[in-house]
Amino acid sequence: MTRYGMVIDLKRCYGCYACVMSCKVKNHTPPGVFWARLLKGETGTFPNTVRQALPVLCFQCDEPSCLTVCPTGATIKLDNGIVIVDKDKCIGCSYCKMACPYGARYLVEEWQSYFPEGLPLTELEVMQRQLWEEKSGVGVSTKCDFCRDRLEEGRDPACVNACPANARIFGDLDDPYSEPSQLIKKSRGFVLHPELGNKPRVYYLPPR
Amino acid sequence: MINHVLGAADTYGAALGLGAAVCSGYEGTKKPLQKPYPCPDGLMVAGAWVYDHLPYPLHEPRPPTRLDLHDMFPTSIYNAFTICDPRWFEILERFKIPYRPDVMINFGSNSVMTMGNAEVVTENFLKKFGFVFSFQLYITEFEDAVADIILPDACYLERFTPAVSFPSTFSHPQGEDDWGWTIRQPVVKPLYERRDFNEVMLDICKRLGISGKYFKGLNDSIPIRYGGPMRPENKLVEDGSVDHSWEDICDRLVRDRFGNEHDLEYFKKRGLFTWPKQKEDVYWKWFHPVRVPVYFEYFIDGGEKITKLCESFGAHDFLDWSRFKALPDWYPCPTHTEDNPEYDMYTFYWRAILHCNSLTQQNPWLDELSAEDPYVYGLQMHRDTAREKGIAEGDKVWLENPEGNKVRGWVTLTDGIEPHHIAVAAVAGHWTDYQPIAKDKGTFFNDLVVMDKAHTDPLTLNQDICCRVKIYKAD
Repeated sequence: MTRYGMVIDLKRCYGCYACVMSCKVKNHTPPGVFWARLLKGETGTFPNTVRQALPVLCFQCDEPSCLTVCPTGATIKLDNGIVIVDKDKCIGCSYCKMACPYGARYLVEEWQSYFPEGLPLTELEVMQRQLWEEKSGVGVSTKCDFCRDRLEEGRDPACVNACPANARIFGDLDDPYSEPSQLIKKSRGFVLHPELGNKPRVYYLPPR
Repeated sequence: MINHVLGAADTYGAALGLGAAVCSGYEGTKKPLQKPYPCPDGLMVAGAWVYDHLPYPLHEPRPPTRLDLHDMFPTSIYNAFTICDPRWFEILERFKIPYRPDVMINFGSNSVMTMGNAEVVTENFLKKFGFVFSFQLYITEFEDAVADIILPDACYLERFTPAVSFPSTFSHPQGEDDWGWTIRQPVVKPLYERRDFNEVMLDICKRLGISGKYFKGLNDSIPIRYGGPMRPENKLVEDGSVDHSWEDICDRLVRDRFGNEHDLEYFKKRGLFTWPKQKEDVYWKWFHPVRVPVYFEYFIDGGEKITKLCESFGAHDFLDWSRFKALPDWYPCPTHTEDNPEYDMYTFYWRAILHCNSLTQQNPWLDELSAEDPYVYGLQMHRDTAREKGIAEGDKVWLENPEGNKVRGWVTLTDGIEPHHIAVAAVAGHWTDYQPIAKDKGTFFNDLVVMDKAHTDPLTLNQDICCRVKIYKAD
């Protein structure tokens, strides 16, 4: 059985935001919601300073904290490894948002426009809102689902497709010969905060 | 330069430059064709160039006919110090230019923000035009300040652009990858009353009865920009007897470059045409024995000619002619000779990866990502220097140059910057009410750029874009 996962090569990522933008465009996420995010930080002191970009998203954990705290069973771990939210069961209690140690959950309480108050929604925003509500909605918990609809069409997640540096490698982590599995094995792949025991399915390759 | 001295550039096993100097063209048409060739001295003459004159050989300095006197300056591609001088018209008089600025057509640019100090650019240059009309996607500070008529332009997703990857070498596929020619095409009809500026220009020319001249201008520019002359049957008719539409012009261009089977319909379906790159294109230096200049003896000759030309107008001191040397040299600009200790910081501009010039600031998604990024909207300052000055993360500050121009921003602390420098990202800090997303975001660095002769490099005529400033907290 295919169980999806992702590898992000920090040597290749140069922080261009193509993943973040492609996610917003594809998933119609409203202002302030980033299913794919990019964190930027620094190490060292001048003149030996290094800036590092760290792309993050829902890690589709094998032991997801968000699932265990969900009181209605709205959070579901699929057989293919992806964690999804059933928006019809979600009551918007935010337990999952608080439980996720990686900050991958978003709850949109009210749809906001990108433009200042008083201006009508643009045509694009109207379309964006409609598409968002079909897929996720207002008042429910939302998160990255590895672009499940694209996977069903045989395509990679939007962020993987958009990365100009090929820093994201997507595939079946249960297949020891898949590209991501091989990279994790050969290039010292690691997960963020393994001590929390969530067993993320998104791995990183070291920046240097 | 070391690669060129050692002969290790653009040949087998060597470093390859950005953008190939050679394109052998598509096999069926031998276009686009661009090849360098040696001058009598063996120096390289480029086969194609994106600006209005080649970098070598220098064109003969001519008595100026243009309003920026640019005909006189063979080593530069642009100058602002003449047109932004408060005595611009006196300069024109001195150089016997018989006319004054009348009509300006602006194509999607916001020169109020992109040239230098906004007030100087606006008052000394833009407001000197009698009539200004502007094609623009959003209303910018330019239209706010000087446009008499604004013509809503179509977005690039609403119109045809027949050549995207040529002529700019930045867009060429690198290495041994295939050559590619791409077009942009409309994916939606233009919203509201927007129209493609190309179609509007065709309409205007038709009403003025100058369509033939316009078509001649297009015919003349195609061989230079897109690698070779048009076949006679594809040329636009220059006597004005044919109304070429923009789609027809696009069709003729791509058919001429790639044969009748690769017409606009072909490109509409595929968007892209590729053809194999030749080894002569990739490792071109081996096949084209030209010398890339590493010293510029012809600058001396060019400088002497400009000097004489300026002297003939009684302007022997117009520029510092001593800069026209064969070897690169460094001259301190006023930023580096400022001796008032109050102005103890250097500030400079850098291009944020999210933005392109000033236009993209109004895009809500790009704005949202810019706000997420720790560096795009803040003034980056070394944390130790900030501490010494009593400035903390997020503090609102002024940067003020010795000329008294100042810009406002907020500080983001970093270890990744030289302690006496302040970095400013993008052309931000919009102020027009017509850009509610971009308004008041980031800092408008260019207000610190001084647009005078002292801050202009005499050789390239580029403005100095490093500035000395003092920094202090804003109320």
